[in-house]
This record gives sequence, C-alpha cells and structure tokens, in this order.
Amino acid sequence: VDAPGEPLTDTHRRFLADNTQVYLVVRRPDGKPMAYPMVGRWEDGGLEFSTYRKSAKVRHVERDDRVCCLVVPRDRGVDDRVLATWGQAAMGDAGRDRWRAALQGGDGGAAGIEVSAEVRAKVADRLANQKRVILRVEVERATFVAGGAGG
Amino acid sequence: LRVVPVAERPNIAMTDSEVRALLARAGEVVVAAIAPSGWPVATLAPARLDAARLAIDVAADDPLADSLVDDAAVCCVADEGASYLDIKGVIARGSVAGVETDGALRRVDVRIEHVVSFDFGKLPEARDT
Repeated sequence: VDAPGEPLTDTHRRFLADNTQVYLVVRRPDGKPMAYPMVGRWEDGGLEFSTYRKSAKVRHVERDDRVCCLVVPRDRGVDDRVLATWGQAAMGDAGRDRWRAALQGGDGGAAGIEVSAEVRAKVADRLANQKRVILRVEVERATFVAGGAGG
Repeated sequence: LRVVPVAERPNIAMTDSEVRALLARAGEVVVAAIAPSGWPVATLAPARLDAARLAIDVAADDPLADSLVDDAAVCCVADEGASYLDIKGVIARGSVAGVETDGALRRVDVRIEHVVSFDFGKLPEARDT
C-alpha cells in the first residue's frame, strides 16, 4: 500500500534542506504510534537522524520500517508551512563520517539550535564508538499539511 | 566517592505541574496516529489542555483526519527550547475519546494515558553552566 502524500517535488526537497526540526513517527510493536522530536539532516535525497543504537526507536523501525517525518520550521513567523513526509527507514553507516565531521567542525548551527562544543564532542565520540547510529529515511512521498499555511 | 553504574541515567523528567504548564502554553501539538493503510501519519494542530485530556482541532482534509476515530491510539508531542540545555518536551500517548465535525474541522478529544517528559536543563552539565 502506498504511503499518503504525493511523490517528492523540488519544493519539498528545498523545504527539507532548509529545516532541521523533525518529528519522527514510528509504529510500535503494539501497533500504536510513537513520535520523537529529532534533529534531521537532509543528505543525498534522504533524511538522517543520529540516535542511540539501543534506543526504542531503532528497535521499532527494525520491526516496521514505515515512518512519517513531520518537518516544522523553528521560526514559523518566517515560514509557517508544515511538511509531512513518508518513507522507509534503515540504519546506515554511510552518514556516520559526515555527521562526525559536521559536529567536530563546529557545525552546531546545522542543528538549528545552540549546541555547546561539549555536547557536540560527546555525540561525535558516541558516533565514533558506534554507541550512536545514523537512522536514514528514504523519503518518497510528502505533502504540506493543513496545520501549516501550505495545506 | 559515589560509584555510578554505567546504565544509570540522570532523571530529567518534568514534574506533573511542569508537564501541565508546558501543554497549557504550547498552543499547538504534533499529533500522530496510524492510518488504516498501516502507515504512521502526523500533523501539527491547535490544542487545549483540559484536565487529563487534550482538545485538538484537525482540518478535515488533513491526511491524519480519517485516522482519528473513537478509541484510535494517538501520540501527541509538545516541545520547546532555542538551545540544547533549554529543550523541554512532553510525549503524551492516549486514545481518541470523541470526535465532532465542525465545518472544515474535526474537534478531537484525546484521553491522555501515558506521559514521557524531558527537561535538558536538569542534565548534570546544565548545573555546570
């Protein structure tokens, strides 16, 4: 069964590249939804998240890889659109070095929020020792939802 | 000297009154459900806290709307914070306890059954700043 929404457009891709506040919605083993506030990075046509390997969200997507990512601009006074996207998630090591480089390079602004050097170093270290993994969503469909002005 | 087990994590949960205050001032929450197709769906919607319930308004043409039927499981998120140590959030799971259609809106009553909260300002490193 196809996910909701329409095939991804360049407008969707630009929005994904510009906004890092993402709510990752997964299906728990009991069939109920679970939403996680995350920092998402749009890289090479996919949405990537850094998370603990042993986290519940990793277990949930390993069981059912269908996810919804709701993308909400941090400053809705500038852009009040809200984008719902859908795709399949998987653990991917390909993005690990890119994330570490961004964190070690002081790219705290990439998160869209102030993150101290100490916290960035801790996350980079946990990516290096594989306590943290990169969860990548191949986004296939999207739509601006009625919660934002784009609906 | 206090030996801290590796698995021990600091308790950064918010108090009940902090949770209520955040939900009350949020104004909008992320609402998530599972569509009949099996795919997760979500939107951002105006919400009001009323005791142990959230009253949520969802546009009738939102992809989420048809999933919000009586007893459907939902998950709502409210969070805030402009810097890492200011981040606070509430993840409230529950079920739909009534739906009314009002023109182009669905007014959905969500019974809150389980809450997870976090306040990064309660992390040990926040005390050092």
